[in-house]
Amino acid sequence: MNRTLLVALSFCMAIAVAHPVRAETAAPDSKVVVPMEALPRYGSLVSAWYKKPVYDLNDKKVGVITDMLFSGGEINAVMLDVGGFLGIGAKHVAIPANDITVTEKNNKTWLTINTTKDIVKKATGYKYDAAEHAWKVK
Amino acid sequence: MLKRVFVTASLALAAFAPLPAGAQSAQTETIVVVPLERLPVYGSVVSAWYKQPVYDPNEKKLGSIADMLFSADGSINAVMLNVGGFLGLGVKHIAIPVSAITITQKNSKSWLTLNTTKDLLKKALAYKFDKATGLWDPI
Repeated sequence: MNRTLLVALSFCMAIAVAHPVRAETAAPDSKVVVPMEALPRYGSLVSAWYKKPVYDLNDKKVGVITDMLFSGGEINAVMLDVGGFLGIGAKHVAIPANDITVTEKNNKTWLTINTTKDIVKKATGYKYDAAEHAWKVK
Repeated sequence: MLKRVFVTASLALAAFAPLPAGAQSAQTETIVVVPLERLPVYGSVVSAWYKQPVYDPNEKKLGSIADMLFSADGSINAVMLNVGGFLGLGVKHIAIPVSAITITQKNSKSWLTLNTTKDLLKKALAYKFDKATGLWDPI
């Protein structure tokens, strides 16, 4: 019932808004953005991942997510600081986003990765280059 | 030269990795994850977006990014923007398609822009984060 109303509303808005957009655009690329009236389907939130801990299958903390890399709106890698796990200051390793599993524990998001200390120890370390806004091989 | 070394290393690892996984997996779906030896092509990083300010084309601050919604395949499909300050209210979260926000640079820092108006933001549907469900719901 509520959803039907929302869909109907968003159609109305789309029609109502189309005219001012056309009237305002002098430059071809400057399209005025109208906020969304309905959310797209989504599985998770950056707020549940970013700066959050990731555990192994034995509930041992492997590291913390320090960044997420995306391209064309698609997250393709996650930077994980495994320094604490390895007993060193900081070491950022890159993990494919779909290798991290999100579940729930005590009503909170619980992120897991199936990996070992040995594997992350051997893995390539990355470092954030603030001048270039990019992660580089350390 | 460096690149070639990496490719070889990752190939070697790839050939190497399935073995322990295969040996360990009593269940079929537990594959041990090996970190990436090379980064995929990427255009931006979440750290340049999350909790960062977003400006209109006249450099007026519209709000800051409170969250980013993504689907199971990793595609970010919406950004939650808190425009409360801009509207002179406490908090108002609205949803923006991620592709509508442009990222450039200013003084060596990321600069996010959104071409919209106060009027549109005022009229827009507001969302609220539901801690119990972990979802954003329309207010």
